[in-house]
Amino acid sequence: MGLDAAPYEMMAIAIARDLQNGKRVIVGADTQIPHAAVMLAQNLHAPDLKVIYGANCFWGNTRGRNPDLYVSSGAYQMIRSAESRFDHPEIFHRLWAIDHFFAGGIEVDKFGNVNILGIPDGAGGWKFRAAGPVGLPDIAVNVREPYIFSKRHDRRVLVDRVALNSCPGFLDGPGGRERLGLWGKGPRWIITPKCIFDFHPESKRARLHRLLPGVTVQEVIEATGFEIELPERVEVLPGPAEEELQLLRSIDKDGNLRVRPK
Amino acid sequence: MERANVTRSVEDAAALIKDGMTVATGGLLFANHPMPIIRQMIRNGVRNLTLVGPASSGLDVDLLIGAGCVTTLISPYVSGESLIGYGPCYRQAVERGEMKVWEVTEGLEYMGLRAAALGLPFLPYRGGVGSDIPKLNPEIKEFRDPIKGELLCAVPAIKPDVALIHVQRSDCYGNGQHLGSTYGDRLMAHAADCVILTCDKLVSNEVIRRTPLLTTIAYATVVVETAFGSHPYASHGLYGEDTEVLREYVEAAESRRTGNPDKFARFLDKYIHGPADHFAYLDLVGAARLVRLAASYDDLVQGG
Repeated sequence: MGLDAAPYEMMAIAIARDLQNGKRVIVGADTQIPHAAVMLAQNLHAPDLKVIYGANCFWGNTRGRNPDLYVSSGAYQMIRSAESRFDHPEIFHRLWAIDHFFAGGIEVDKFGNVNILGIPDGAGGWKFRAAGPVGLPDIAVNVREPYIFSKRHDRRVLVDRVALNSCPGFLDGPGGRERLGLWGKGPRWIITPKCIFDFHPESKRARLHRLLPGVTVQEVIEATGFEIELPERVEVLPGPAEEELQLLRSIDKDGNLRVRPK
Repeated sequence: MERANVTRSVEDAAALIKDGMTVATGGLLFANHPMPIIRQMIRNGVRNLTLVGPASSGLDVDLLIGAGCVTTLISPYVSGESLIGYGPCYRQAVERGEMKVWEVTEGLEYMGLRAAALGLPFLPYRGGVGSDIPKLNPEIKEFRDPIKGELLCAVPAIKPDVALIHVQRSDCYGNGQHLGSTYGDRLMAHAADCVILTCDKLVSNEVIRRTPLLTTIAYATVVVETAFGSHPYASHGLYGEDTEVLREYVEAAESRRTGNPDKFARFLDKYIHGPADHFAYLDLVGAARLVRLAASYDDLVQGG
């Protein structure tokens, strides 16, 4: 008790705790928080968490390997944790057998849809063009239960409806996925520097599930651009155990996750 | 009659790439890019390319866009990843309407390349269903499959005229070996009419015959020997990426995007138009630095 984790560290710890031993996950490009989370989980309770490092094209296990969190998930140094390789197109083989992936974007909406395409200008052009959808549209309709994460929690990111959908969540609500026959259950969480949302089983709307330590419900409501499903009681995520924070900081040697969210 | 030696100079190989072609370029994000060919294409002033980028394209693709070579881009993502969350030249070209993006997902790009490799008009995939991709790219069509009636996306064959692939070593007959990740290179090579291979080391055919199971690209059309040919990117198995030069690129491209093109022009002059050939480029980067990039990789794998 009394240990103070930075918000991004707390996000990594929360994801790590949720990752069960034996599950299969994919970590993609530009996803430092989940990347730290899978390494943390492998070195704590989930030695048999099976991880695809998507931008490096191998399955790897960091258990007992003194892993580092690199700036890029495609960093060549990650070869240290590799145990097998594949051709990148094969990442789409057995996607239906993958439990989790981690999706981020410039907008996330109340039904867990993500936009990483950009903001159209309404006249066939773009106000802002983001990096592009990568494999998110593929993963979102095949993988069992993706996580959505955002390094920012404000009304520009957490919106009522995404301007463009590049990662289908529950689409327009109940029955949306079923109507299109999508595979996978839909998103598991939206995790931000302030809180974790899960999804109400009937309405499929984002429901406040846990607050990160030090955050209030009011603060979340004010920073969120959609109407939140509020349960009667919202629990606060327990702070980091000493073992968790020590191990995480031994992985994140450069303190990438100690940067304060914008 | 002797077997044909397919090694060529950077200049002769790059001359195969003509205005208006569809060109695929391999590697992924920060590794395995055929940079000497890319730099020579820019020197040659190649125009109006349809560029098929890596399924996660990095700043190599961004550079070709910034140099004005690309009219249409087929790629689901262009980013400097953790150095910068988007390709600056890509973002600028799309926002100004100067380049068309043939919107696609990673899965659909690979299915399009696979369709070309198989000689099929299209292949189906579930990726894209429920997203706005088929709306943004009407050539990708949602349809009900004739077997089970599932809603899928049909993606037309993506057929490159030329695929540019970087491997760590090859013989003079075009038998290339990746010593690390292969990324999407094999599928790109299978889809293309012509494969231009750059290799860090040209090895004898005897080396290949001792290790035929390592050969990942068979009988490339042309092989170009280019030591440190992926610099400033990593060559998986031999050397790491040169973050300093990448940061220099990001700064130049981002400053161009925000209205000051001088730095970018200076970057092109310094690294592309200035050096007389690939060896002059390596001299510019400097031996000490290249040796360090190689040592960083060796330490990792052997020093463990």
